Amino acid sequence: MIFWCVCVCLHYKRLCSFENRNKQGQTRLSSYYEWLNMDERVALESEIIRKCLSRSELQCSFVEYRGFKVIYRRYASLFFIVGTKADVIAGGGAENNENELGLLEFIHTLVETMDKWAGSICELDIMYQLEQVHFLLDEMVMNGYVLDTNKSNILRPLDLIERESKKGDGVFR
Amino acid sequence: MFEKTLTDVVKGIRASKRNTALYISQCIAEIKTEINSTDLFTKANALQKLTFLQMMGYNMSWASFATIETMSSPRFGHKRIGYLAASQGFNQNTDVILLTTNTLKKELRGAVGGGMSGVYEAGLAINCLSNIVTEDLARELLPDLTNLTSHPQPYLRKKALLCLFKLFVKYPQGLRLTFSRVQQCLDDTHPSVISCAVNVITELSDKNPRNYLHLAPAFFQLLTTSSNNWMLIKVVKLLGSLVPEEPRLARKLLDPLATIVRNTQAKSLLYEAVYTITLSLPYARKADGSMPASMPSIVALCAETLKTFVEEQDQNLKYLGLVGFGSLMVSHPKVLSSPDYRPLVLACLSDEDVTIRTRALDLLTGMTTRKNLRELVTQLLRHVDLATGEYKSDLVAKIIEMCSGEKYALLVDFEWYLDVLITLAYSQGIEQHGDLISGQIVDVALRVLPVRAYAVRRMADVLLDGTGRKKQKGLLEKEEDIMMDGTTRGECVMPEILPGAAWIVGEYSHLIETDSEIQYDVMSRGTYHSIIQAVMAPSNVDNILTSTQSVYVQCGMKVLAAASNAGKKCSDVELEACAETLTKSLPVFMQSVDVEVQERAFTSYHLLTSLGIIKASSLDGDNAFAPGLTPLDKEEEDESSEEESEEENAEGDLLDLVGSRPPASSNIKKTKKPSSSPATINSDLNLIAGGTLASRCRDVSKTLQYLLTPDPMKPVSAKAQRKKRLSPPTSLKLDLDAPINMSIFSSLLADERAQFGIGGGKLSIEAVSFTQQRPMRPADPTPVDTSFILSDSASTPNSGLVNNSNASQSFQHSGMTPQQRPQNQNQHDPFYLNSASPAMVEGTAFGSDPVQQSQTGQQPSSRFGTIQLVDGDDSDDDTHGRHKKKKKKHKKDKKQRKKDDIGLSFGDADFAALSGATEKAKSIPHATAALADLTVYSSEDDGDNDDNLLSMKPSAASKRGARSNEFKGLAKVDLTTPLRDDEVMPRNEHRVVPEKTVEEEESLGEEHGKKKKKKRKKEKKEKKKNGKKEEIETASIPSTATGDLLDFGGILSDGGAPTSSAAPTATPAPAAHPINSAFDDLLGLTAELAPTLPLAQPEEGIQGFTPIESPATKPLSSKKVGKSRVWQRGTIKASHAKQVSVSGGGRSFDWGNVSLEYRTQHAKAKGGGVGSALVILRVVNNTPDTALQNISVLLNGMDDPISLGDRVNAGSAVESNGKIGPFSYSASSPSLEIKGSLRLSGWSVPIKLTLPATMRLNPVAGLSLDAVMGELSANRWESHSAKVEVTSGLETAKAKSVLGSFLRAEEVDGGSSAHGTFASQTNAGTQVRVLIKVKESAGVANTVKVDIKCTDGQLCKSLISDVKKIIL
Repeated sequence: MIFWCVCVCLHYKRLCSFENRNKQGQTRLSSYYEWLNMDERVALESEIIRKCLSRSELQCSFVEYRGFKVIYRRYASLFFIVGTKADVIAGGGAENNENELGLLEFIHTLVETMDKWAGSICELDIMYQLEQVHFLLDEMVMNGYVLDTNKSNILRPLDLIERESKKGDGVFR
Repeated sequence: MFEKTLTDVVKGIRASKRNTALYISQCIAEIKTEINSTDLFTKANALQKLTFLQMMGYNMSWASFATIETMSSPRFGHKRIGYLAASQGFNQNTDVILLTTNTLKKELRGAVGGGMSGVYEAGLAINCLSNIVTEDLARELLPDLTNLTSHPQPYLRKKALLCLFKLFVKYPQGLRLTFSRVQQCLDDTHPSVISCAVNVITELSDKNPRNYLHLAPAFFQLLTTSSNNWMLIKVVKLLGSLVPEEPRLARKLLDPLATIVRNTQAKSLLYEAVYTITLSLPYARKADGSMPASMPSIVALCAETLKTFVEEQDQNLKYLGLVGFGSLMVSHPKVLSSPDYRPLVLACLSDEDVTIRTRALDLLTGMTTRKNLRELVTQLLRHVDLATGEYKSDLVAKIIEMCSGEKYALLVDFEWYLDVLITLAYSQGIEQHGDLISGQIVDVALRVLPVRAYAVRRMADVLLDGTGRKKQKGLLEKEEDIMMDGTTRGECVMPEILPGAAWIVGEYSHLIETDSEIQYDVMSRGTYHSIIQAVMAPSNVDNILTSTQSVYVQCGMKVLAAASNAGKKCSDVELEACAETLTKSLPVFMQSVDVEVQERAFTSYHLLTSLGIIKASSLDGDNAFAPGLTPLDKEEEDESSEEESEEENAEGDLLDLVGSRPPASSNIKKTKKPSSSPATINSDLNLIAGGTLASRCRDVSKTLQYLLTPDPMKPVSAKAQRKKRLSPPTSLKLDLDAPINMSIFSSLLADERAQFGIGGGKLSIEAVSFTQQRPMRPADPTPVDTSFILSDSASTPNSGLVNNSNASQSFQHSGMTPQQRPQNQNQHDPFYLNSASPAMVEGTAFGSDPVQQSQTGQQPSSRFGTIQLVDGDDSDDDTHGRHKKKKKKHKKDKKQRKKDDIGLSFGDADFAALSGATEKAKSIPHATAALADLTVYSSEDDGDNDDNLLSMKPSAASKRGARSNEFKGLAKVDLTTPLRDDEVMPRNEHRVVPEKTVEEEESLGEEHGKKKKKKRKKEKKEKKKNGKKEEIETASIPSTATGDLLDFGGILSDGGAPTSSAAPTATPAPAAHPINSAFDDLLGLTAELAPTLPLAQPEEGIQGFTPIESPATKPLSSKKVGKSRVWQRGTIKASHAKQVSVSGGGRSFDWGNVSLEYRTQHAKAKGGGVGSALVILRVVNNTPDTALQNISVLLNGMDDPISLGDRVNAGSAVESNGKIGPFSYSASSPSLEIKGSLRLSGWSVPIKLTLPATMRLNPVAGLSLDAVMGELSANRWESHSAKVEVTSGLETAKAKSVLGSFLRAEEVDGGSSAHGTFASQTNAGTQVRVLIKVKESAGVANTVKVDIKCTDGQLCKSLISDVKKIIL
């Protein structure tokens, strides 16, 4: 089960006197499939983001953190981070985890779908069309489980929904 | 019209980089006004903005209601905003979630009908529902959602399917109702729907695989045919989760999975297949123990695949390869030991990525063999130097685990291991492992004889080093070898090592090598002296932990003992230097802030003084003692901490005089105390005048040796310790019989003789050692003080003693009789009673006073008794109620023990660790004691939620720990049994008022007066009946066990109680009344056993349930003819047990072995009110061998205790002689608690009986099953459930009827023998419906599950807790 899915935009922040660059991330999209309190979310996000950003590209895309297995993937300045259940000690028998590679592929599918939807996805696309991105994600993941991975299956209803909601949305309301 | 849109806000935020927070707070303020607008456009817009801000971390819980308003807007555009806001913003604390029920339902239903209309609305609703579902929502919406799984649009089918899983989580009962639908979806035409179905079943199977075993063939088919990798991953997972349930599947799976491994291109599927193979391997063994033929090749295939993963450049694959290896090692631990893999894994250890490093570290255990251990550890040590943080301590833990694992199985060279440990001890940043390392060092020194000498040498180094001395060059060559990099060695060793080091050096001080060149400073005269200097350095007081200091003091003394005993190895100069150092340093430690240090230093100091090693001159000056603290003040402190010192004696410096601990420790004190008395000191002085200090030391070396290091310590396993504790009396007895070793007193006797100037004849040992204890133990210090001064100034010792008038004089006469002394001490001396009971035993050995002996002998046994109580947990009866808890505790216990014995034995299995820390050993009983208390306290109502299937509460899902609980209910759902008739989809209907029966209508129509009249009539009859009953009772006393027949009790189930072996009397069977059906089984039983017994006819007009027993039916041999009835378990608060008299034998009880049971009989209250009950008590003795004596029960509100009997033998029970009561129920609570106390064998313990609420119930007649179902579906029932385990081998049908009759309910016809529905009601009209389901094996009931539904919540709860107390 995917517990949450966060998309983070990476910024480089220049500290005034020093020349070193400080990586900073800002959440652009977040979706939670289990109930977390607001402050828990904020704390979790900031910690996870810091952890992921601090890792170099040579390191693997899995971080174990607070009982979550965090799987992330970076696309230019966008980080897609997915949290899932951590490994049980090997040999735990019937415990199912999400397949880590599967989730990596899922992230990739998500990005490809977004690309197809917005041309070439960038931070601003997500920022200004947050709702649609949410719906896109909802078409792919529901309740923590992958719903569909077929791009056309995902995008068709998205268009229809968009058209439907614009219906009667005239200038004069 | 002019509000900011979301785009505006986003732009605004981007524009105001400086002060984003301010901008946002302005926005929120705007939103707050906008959201209250009546215009839905404004509201939706505001909500849209808020949802965005929420993502940035701002709370939006205050907008919940507006969210719902927007959700129910007719416009799709608004709806969408609302649903998104709801799924993002709601959490379990949102109370308005329930308000969404109808909106959601409308949307879900809107899509039904085909076409595209409403499909997307429904999609939105499903999506939202999956995020916000609660138990109530789940129950309400389950039918609608299930309908959608067969919707023509696959878009909705797949969504509904996935959402169903979430509903099941919240409402497990729903799974049974709708699983067939989920299963159907596996045959769907649309691939994404199948995929979703697989997904759901995979998750479900994760929680409880057994339910889905029958689907295995279908999935197997999918596995071999499908090409959808996404789905295949899930299918593989699913099959993997089924394997533990069906081992045959494991063998069948191996080959197809291997095929996938060989053929697939997708790495994710490849990995999944390999991983699942590794999971199935442990189960692949055939029933006859052989492995499938393909096994080795498959293991090799896995290993090879994983190896390619690890070799990959891609870090992700590398990581997964390591994880896979970890899983493979579970079944094939040695797979990594082949040399091919070692460099691979070791390379990962130096990986840049800590995640990978940690994983690789986990694999090392599987790679180690005897041969490569040393090499691996050496490499790891190199990593330790470079590592930081948590990884570093992981490394250290791993090293120790590798070396010490399985009782040091892989370790060959212990000297090398000591070196490793010492190296680690000097590392920085692994402080949390200090105790572990120290424990290991001590453990190795303790167990491995050949390395002791080496350990002593190294530890001496550590001690000298640890106290700040600069290292001598060249001395630590070997260590330098180990240190890969000499510079990294920290200046100071971990402080946790020091006590261990000191203990080793002290305990094995005879192994100290004198030829080593280590020196403390230039003043050092030799090795012994250096060590003493190091441990006794006055600077230690400031620098070192007090707990370490106390070990140091002991160490110094032991080293002195060794030095004095070393003969030529220790020169006179060195010996004198040693003694002098001690003389100088001990007073410093005597001023320690820590009482333990103070006390040890003080004892040591006075021991040396008495032995004449510390010269009188040092006593002359005040410098010997703390200024303002007279020596006797000190002594007083010494006394007060006597208890402590006893424990300490058990720790290390144990003088083992006659082989058992307690007397030995007392001996130490006895020899110490008197010798420090003024008289002996003087005599010592005389002696010292003759020889040098060194020769004096050598003279007393035997004594020192005897006192401090009598025998090398041996490792004692926890088990052995427990045995010792459990049988203290026998060991004491042995001691008393053994001849006492008098030689120890010889030197003291000599002193005494010199003192009195008499020849040996008249003096006895008592005169020397014990009579003079009193002056040192004054009530008022002043006179004693004078006596001390007097003796100091060399006046006659007698005058000193006489001056000491306040102390009880009789003790000072050497001629006093030994019998007198201990008695007096017992009476007057508070210290003596509390702490010195073993000493008493020793004392009485001289006096040979048997009475006292036995009395004092009890003291330790009762002390140990409390421990015994605790330890009994593995032997006592695991009765069903506590079953779970006990198990848990057991586990915990085990864990703790495991933790304590890191090392375990070297060589023999039964040797467990004594890592020099008796505190640890002591803490175990304490911990378990606390646990035991816990069990007793909570045995009453625990597990309320455990088995409560029908009333699953929504679990708090926010916490990590709660997550597993979230699925608990789901895991309990059993799909293998067919649906029962009563399991129907929850329907929402208006409550239908049940049609009134004619009778009721009549009574309603009638006037009140008439009603009253009727009532009075009834009461009269009842009174009559009661009177009669009492008569019968008085007539039949003491034939108690027969019981009255008013209560439709169950079948007595106690096979172990001969007094009440059940031969049933007549069970009254009111033929006309339908309740009979519930008792048919019961009668069947009675008929079998006593077929000729006549049945009583019930009287007419009485409620039908309380027939009078006619005297004729009562057999004379009533004691034998016990009425079958259900016993319930009373609560014994064992933690509050106290001994009230010693006459009963004084042994403590394992209260777990004594159970108090009671059964209740219905009695009509005189006032006709809430009812009352009579109670029969019984006490069951489950102990293996002990008989209980003088059992009586005193219940609150009663004047006299009720005696149950004089004696109950082990394994039998005793019953109260007559019914107790009646107890009247109060109107406020359904059940009735009676508290009281139980006395037996001189112990008293608080007890509590909860008289069941069932006494309020009466059966309801004439209901049909349909009617009951109808009632239940009208949603107004509180429901609880419980499971009762049946231990007595009751037949299925009987178990059911017994429970039914216990609940005083009537069976509604239509049930089978294994389950049935019962109905009853209270006088007040509260309805109770009970569902009883018996699980059986071979016709004998295993467990009975009782679901109680009741219109009153409180009653329901108390009924369920009554059921839990039943003993079946």
